[in-house]
Amino acid sequence: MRRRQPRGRQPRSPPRKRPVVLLDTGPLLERAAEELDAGCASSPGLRELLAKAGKLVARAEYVATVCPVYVEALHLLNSRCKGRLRGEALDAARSRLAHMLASIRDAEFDLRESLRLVIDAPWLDLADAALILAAEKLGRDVPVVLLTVDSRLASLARRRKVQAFTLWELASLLGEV
Amino acid sequence: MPARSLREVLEEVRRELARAGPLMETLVDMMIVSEVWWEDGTVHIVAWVPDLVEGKPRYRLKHIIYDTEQKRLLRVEDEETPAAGAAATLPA
Repeated sequence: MRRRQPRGRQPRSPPRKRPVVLLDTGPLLERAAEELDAGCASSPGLRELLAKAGKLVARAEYVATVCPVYVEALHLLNSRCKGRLRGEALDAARSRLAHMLASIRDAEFDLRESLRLVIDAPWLDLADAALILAAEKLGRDVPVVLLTVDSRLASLARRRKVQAFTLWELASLLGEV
Repeated sequence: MPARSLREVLEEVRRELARAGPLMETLVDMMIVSEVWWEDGTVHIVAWVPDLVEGKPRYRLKHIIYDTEQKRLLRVEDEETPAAGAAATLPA
């Protein structure tokens, strides 16, 4: 992707840091459901919201998530797609899904610290806690945008100074950008 | 390597932007940093900042220049919005 320079400015030598987009289970699941194309779609309208969010994070350095989110998403996908796919179709879907997941990077997080966060805020699941900690770690050096469908997670992350948004929040502000 | 972390600097920038008024104080939490770089004691931030457009909150792309030594905003100007359709989906 072409790196745009600010209007009226000469190209700059300092390296620019583009944001890392961290995906929670909802957005990841939607991407996976789209990849599977097996009628296992998640919430209605989520795909459109995800596409809109793409306008804001178009220049992301890369998209990442944490291991517990993969596990949660795969578990939910299995539940949703159970019965719809069988035999070779199921194998093909798994292969496509693995290909899609391989294009998303792993973000580092501390498991014990994540568990401590869950102890302090029991409504959080391990995936949520791991995402927040991964965002905090990455965010020391590069901009990070955490995308979720969970408003409580987004609120908690923002209180901890992490850029976090639900897809609905983004859509409500996108307008005609 | 900058002396302060990006998170610390962004917090300072948010605080400065929030001084614009009570509405901005609320909206600045919704700022989305899209690009950042350091240059000669300043930090340049390209960010989507909520703004009121015809009475409705809408994201506007801004180029913010912040003096990290003086701890003050040097400039906040509109940036060109990426072409529509430039990215219809999340980058993989």
